[in-house]
Amino acid sequence: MAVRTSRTIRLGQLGLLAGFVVVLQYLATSGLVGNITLAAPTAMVSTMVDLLASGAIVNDVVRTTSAVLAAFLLAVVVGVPIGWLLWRYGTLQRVLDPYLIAYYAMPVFAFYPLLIALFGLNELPIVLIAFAMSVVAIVINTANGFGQVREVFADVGRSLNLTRWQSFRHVFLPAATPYIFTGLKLGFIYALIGVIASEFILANAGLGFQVSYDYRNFATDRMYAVMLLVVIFAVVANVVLRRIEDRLYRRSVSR
Amino acid sequence: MATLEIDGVTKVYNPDGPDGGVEAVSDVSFDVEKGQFLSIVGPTGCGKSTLLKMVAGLIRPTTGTIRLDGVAVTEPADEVGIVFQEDSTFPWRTTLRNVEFGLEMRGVDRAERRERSREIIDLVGLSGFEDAYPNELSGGMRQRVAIGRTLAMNPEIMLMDEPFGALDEQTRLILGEELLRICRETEQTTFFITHSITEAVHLSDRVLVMSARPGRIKRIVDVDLERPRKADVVTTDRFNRIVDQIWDDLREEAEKGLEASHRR
Amino acid sequence: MATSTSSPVHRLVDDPVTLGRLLVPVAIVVGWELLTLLLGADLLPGPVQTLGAIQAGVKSGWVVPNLVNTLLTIAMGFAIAAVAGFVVGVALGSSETGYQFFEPFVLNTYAIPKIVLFPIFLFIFKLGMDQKVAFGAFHGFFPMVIITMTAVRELPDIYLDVGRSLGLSRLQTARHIVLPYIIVHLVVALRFAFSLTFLGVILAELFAAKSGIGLYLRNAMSVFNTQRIMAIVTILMVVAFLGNLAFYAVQLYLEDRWNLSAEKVV
Repeated sequence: MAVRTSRTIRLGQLGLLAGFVVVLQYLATSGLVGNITLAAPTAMVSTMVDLLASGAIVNDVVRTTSAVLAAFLLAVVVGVPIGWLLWRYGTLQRVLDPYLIAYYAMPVFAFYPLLIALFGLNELPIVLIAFAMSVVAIVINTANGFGQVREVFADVGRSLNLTRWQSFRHVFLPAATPYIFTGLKLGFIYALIGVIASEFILANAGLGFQVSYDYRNFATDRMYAVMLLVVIFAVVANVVLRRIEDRLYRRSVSR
Repeated sequence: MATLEIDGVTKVYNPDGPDGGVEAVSDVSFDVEKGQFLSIVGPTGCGKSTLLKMVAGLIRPTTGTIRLDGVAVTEPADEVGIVFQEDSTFPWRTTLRNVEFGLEMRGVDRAERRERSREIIDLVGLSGFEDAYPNELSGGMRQRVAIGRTLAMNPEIMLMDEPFGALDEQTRLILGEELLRICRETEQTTFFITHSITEAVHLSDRVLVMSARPGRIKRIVDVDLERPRKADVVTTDRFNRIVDQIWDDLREEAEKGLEASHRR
Repeated sequence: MATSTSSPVHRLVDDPVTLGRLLVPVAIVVGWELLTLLLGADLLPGPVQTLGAIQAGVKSGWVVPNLVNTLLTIAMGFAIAAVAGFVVGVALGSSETGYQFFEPFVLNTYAIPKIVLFPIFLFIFKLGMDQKVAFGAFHGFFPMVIITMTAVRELPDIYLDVGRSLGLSRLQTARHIVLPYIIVHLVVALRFAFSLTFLGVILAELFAAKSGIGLYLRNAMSVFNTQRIMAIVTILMVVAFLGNLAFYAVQLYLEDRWNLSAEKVV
């Protein structure tokens, strides 16, 4: 059984996507599926382009993007040091471990209504929820990253009598970087998910809000257009982050 | 004054524990003169690594003294370089950046350390690979990088803890030859731990044979084969006689060790 | 060796880790109470009040039926996600071509904020339980596939070689070699599938539901009934925690018994 070349696979994948789009186009334009329910891909794209070009969606794009960045950066600034602390103080890590794992599994999002009641309908609850969803992945992966640093690297550091700081900056940190980045990647994705979900459920602006607003007002073309925009944004972000991640791992993990 | 003077060194782990702890090394004394290549062979658990760590300043002897150029060793020093058995090259640094690492940490300025590193890279036979990352190099080449990193610091003594242990037979032999060449060119004082008697005799001026735990020096063998040591020296009678003698010593120790564990 | 005066309390205090672990929930409750004192009980009901609100809710009858409704929805969604995810995960994990082909689709869809696709579910399934089950399952499907797929791929070829050399059929190989090896990973996958299905159902109920505890949360949110909000959030957190704990306990047991380990962060 021959292994397909990656080129064939790429073509096949594009074919699948294209086929999917063609089917949707057919379903929409032939009238098989009502146009309240499904917009034609062509309409989706043209509406999306219109929205972007006319600037109608700019405010929401800015809202969403700034919320994601704020939540993510906050999660990095808080999460990486905590992850480092957990690695540095192993007992602390062991104590908190089961809770971190549990936290990862709990619908932190359920606190959103409470935050709205506390802070009102604005960006703050959204950023806080997205932060809460993002930070754990960063903490756990940072702690793991430092934890997996090979003993022999520490030995090299000790044999060269490096200062604590030198050891951290030139040995542990570079060794842990790929793993820390994995945490950052996940953190960003979860921040995005948190923001969009919050905006969708209850908000007054943002891309998530636009989708739910358009849904409730039967503005199908517009709804799908914004959906498409969010999907593209998420996929592009994911692909870019994974590329960087792959490069970090490829160089840094040698055997 | 010898470069390395070991006098009455004992190491007891866990001296306050039950049964008074584990005596890893017991009353070891020997010297290493400048430019000498000394190997240690011994059964597993005989304390070779412990001894190396004490010379490196990573752990302290329970009793006895270790002096490097007359100065007592209390902590890791620039004068002592270590090459580990495991691959210790930093995968995120190129060969050049790996080799210059020690110098960089000491604050040597870039131009100077680059120049020195390139010399060393040439010395260890990795010219052309300055910009390669460890994951592009074979295991043997990575050990050359590790050796280069150590040599770049120009240590008084280079400690090597089974540096070729993780490599295949062919690479071992090649690197052994290379190591001889390097040490001859630099007159590097070397302290070498190995499991392989042939490797020890092939490379060294003297071989320390250690007993089973607690590790004592059973015998010091002067390998008076002429230098430079050609590859075919391993076929000579003299060589094999030395190897056989050490082999007998070690077998005796291994049997003693076996008996002891049976009695327990 | 002499035994110390080891009453259970002494033994507990001797081990700082266990002690620490027991202190964490205490710290959480204490922290919560402090926050309440800081912000005022109107804005943030404290632990005691919340407990009272839960009790009142149970008594007045809206907590239990709605919770059960939600849990049933989650259970159904979870079952679908688990089975579908397992089948697809094994299929993709066993076939190199399949993996290469579908992996980008799976991994990229996982990164999409799936809530934004929720209207599609409403279109297809209409309002009611089905859309919640489907949406929940949609959430839980992905970690199930990803973790299962990775586990099957990691199975050392040598084990399969042993099976082949002994002439095992595909089914025997699956049952006696593949399954025991991946079972720890499967439990991890199920744990993630459960958590994400849970989240998916809650999201669905928050947005468009006719029943379920999420609906009540939505209503409480609209009228700023903080007591009720806290009551429901607390219930959800406890249930999620217990569910997760159950899976985790099984995972630890299996890891311990067979000396395997599953490091997976998705």
